[in-house]
Amino acid sequence: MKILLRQCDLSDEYLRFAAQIGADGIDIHNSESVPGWDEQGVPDAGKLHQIKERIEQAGLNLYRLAPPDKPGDFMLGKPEGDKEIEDLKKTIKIMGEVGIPFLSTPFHFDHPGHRGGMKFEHRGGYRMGGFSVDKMNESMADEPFIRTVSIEDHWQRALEMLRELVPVAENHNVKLITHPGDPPLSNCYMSPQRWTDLMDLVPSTHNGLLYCVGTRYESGVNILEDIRHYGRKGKIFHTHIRNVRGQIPTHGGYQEVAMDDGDMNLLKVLQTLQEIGFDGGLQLDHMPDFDYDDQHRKIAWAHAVGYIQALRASLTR
Amino acid sequence: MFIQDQLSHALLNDDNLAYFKAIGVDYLTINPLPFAADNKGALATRDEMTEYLKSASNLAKKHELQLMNVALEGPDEITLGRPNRDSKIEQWKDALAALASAGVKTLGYNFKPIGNFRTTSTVGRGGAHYSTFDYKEWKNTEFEWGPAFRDKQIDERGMWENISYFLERIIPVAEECDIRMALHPDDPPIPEAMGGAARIVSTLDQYEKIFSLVPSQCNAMLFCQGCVTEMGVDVVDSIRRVGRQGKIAYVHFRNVRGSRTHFEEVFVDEGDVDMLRAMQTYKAVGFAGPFMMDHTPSIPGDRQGREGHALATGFIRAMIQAVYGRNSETTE
Repeated sequence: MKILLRQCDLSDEYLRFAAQIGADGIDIHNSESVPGWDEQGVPDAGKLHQIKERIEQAGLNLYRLAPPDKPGDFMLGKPEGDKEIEDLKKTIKIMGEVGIPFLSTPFHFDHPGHRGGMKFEHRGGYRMGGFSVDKMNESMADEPFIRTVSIEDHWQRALEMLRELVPVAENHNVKLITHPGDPPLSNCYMSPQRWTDLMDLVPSTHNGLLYCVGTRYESGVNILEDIRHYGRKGKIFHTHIRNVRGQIPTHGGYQEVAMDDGDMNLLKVLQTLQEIGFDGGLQLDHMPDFDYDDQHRKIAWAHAVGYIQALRASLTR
Repeated sequence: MFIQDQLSHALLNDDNLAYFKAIGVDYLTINPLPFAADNKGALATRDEMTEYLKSASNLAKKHELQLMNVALEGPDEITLGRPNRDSKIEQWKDALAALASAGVKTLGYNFKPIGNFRTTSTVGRGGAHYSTFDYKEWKNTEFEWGPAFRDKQIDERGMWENISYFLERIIPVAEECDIRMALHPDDPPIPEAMGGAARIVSTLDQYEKIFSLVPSQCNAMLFCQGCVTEMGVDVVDSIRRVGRQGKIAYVHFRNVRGSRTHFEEVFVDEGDVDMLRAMQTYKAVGFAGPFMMDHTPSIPGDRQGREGHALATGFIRAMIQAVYGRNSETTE
């Protein structure tokens, strides 16, 4: 299993730092880091190739790209939506040529759960986000949440888009991966149920889960059984690793915390991933805010990477 | 409650203690103290030391940390057996009493008149700098160091006499104060004269001889995994050997590559030591901490070593949780 950072920027300083602390690679999370993508809808192939080379020269690998944050025309149901599909197909082709194995799907926007977002202070004053059902409901009562797209329309478009993209992904050996809606609520676009259905309704070796340990735990599941469940189906393509206190059904929300400070026994999580034969990326996800941290959150990344390195080293026996 | 980390007295403040707590440190070490056993420090009397240590301990408590340990250097008068050593030994006894009144449990110390040696740093992973020792390179510069050590020449027999003299007088006081004296290995652990001063804390046989000079629970070892690895012995066997005698006061849980004639202090995940087996062995011999990261390679741009501390502390915490278990389990 590879330890990956969620890219902050692509400066030499950041890449060197990631290599020094012993990360295996990064996921590019900000499409603005990839020239052409935000501007013309498709990454500039030559520049993307250079980016990959720079990352490799730093002693790292590049695993995943995430598309632009803003909802695309197809998902919004605009007449010019076909261009979004074509752009994504071109992107997949370019990624295949450059050799980047995973592309996140562009299904996440307009999430009612963001109304329940909170900040909490923890051990020694580090701060991190969380979610409260009550806060979300109060906010909804004050001001109704209006979606740009209805859940049903979004769902049909997501299925249609995946069906268009999957053959291209198969041809170019790029795997499409979908993160569950975060927070995991039944009334968000990629609810736990729809996230699961997406795999069954568009079956493909190149359609799978970006299995987020944190989001899944928050939804109330037994995380080890859940990993076994999706692992048996062979659908865990890539992972997000983080730790949490509390689950929505039992606690009415949750608090995201540092790797060593939460409810989940992440050693058992990694052992279970190993047990199902997972040998992919462990992308360390949301990071705590420590005082004195810099624009790269180096303290937080160093702490998280050290923690997961030791757990991974503990798996060998 | 296992992880101990150190701050210089000059950096002992709310910000740094909150930072330690935030990354998961449990116990605090002050190294160096604002007073030394060489009478040069501003605080020297027993009362002054007590007052300082109590206030430091209270500051630690405010951040839910425990002041557990301090480090002292054996002064030249003691290691070299100079005529006025008795006054230094009396001051060491005062320090022990002061530490006891502040609730400190262990005292880390060195016994060597001439300090640690390093040669040109190696460039490691991602351009990080590794503290390095190369015996040949050092030998070539030994003569350049020479003049500074002119008044510190001592043979092995003299060193043994001096450590005996010291321990015979100090260990009984340490017992009264219930403070374990934790002797750190010579660094590099080379059992020969370097710069003209013999070294007697460089092998485990030497340690056992030291333990036998004044047999006591308080005559113990600071088990520096880095230095022990450099001795060229198997670390896991060594943990068993020293641990079964109950002589490990606390551990420097760090990693190196190489042996005493050439070594590099590398990141905790990439050295010669199988850290998991080491941690499992500490548990097997009944040792329950504390573990310290000690040092880690410097990351360019790292301010006050914070990233390095975070990396190593995260690593040690995960190893402890994997081997000793977690405090709270909800996903069993």
